[in-house]
Amino acid sequence: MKAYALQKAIYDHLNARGRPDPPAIEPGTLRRRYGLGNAEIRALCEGDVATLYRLGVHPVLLNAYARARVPHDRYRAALAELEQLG
Amino acid sequence: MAELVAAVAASHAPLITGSPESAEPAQKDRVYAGMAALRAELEEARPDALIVCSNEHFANFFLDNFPPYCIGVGDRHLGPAEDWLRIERGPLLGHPELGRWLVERLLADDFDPAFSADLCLDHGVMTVLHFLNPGWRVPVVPIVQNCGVAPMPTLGRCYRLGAGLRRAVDAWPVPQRVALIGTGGLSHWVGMPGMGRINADFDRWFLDRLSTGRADDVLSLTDAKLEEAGNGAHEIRSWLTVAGAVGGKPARVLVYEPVSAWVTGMGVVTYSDHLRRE
Repeated sequence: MKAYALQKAIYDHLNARGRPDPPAIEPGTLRRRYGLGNAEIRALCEGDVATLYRLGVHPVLLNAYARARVPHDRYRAALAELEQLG
Repeated sequence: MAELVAAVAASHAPLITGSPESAEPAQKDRVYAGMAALRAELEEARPDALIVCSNEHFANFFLDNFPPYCIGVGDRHLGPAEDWLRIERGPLLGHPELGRWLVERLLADDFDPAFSADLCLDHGVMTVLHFLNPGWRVPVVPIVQNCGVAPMPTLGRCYRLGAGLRRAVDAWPVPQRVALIGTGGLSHWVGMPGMGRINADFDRWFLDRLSTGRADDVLSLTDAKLEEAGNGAHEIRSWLTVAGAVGGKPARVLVYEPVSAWVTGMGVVTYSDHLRRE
């Protein structure tokens, strides 16, 4: 269920079009609205692609999040590191 | 009666507009030339409406409700969802009459499309239309298929959906010229280890099957086999939908380039020669 809530937070953040109160990527909102724990909150706030991947964020959703919030070089480096680790 | 006047397919990749300069210049030029050739074809075909078959990237649907395919029936479509594509955010004109007709006819034809009057279009549709529909002049009926979140519709089902779309267009009692555009993959890895890798052997095999009228060979691939060309290769479903709409006739391949910088095998094909002869 944590992976579902984590992904819902990402989805809501990316698709906030027209909503009066779009969810922000900040600890209070993520804890209150989505019940996320420290590890998930830290990964989201820091754009930690490798941890988000390990936490089960769907790759297509992760890609959308990373493209929007993580510098391209850092994003590719994180995935390359994951590949090296197997 | 309506008439299908063009049928084409092209890879989509957000970086084709978001970071075109990241590609090797000769590759970029060849892909752009392929898109320009498609645009010239479409201008010659003078469509009154575009049906654009792409795939869902979580710009509309989430895991609480993820339809196999959804037809946009709005009179406007917002897009692009991403603000970094270097494409001005529209609204694009929709074509609600055609969209609703497609939904009704497909339902009558034993398909089960979802529909939405509020689809948000992302790079899957917008990057290709940036090249093929400048100024968003021609109204668009978008179709987003599930090409990414398992379980997905089978390749055969997507091919047959194309045949169903063709029957629906042919039966539309309105004298309009309709073009069908498929966008998606080819091989690529998205949001996972391997991103930037391209399986050019798979891409060339796939394009060979399309260009020799053997799309049937592709339909039996399992999802596991398909993933040897990356999780993004599931997007060939949109290409197969276009192939189904022309009865599996041979495609003419205009370009193929494995563009690692855009993390995608970039292909461009057309079937419009057949439609001109019909």
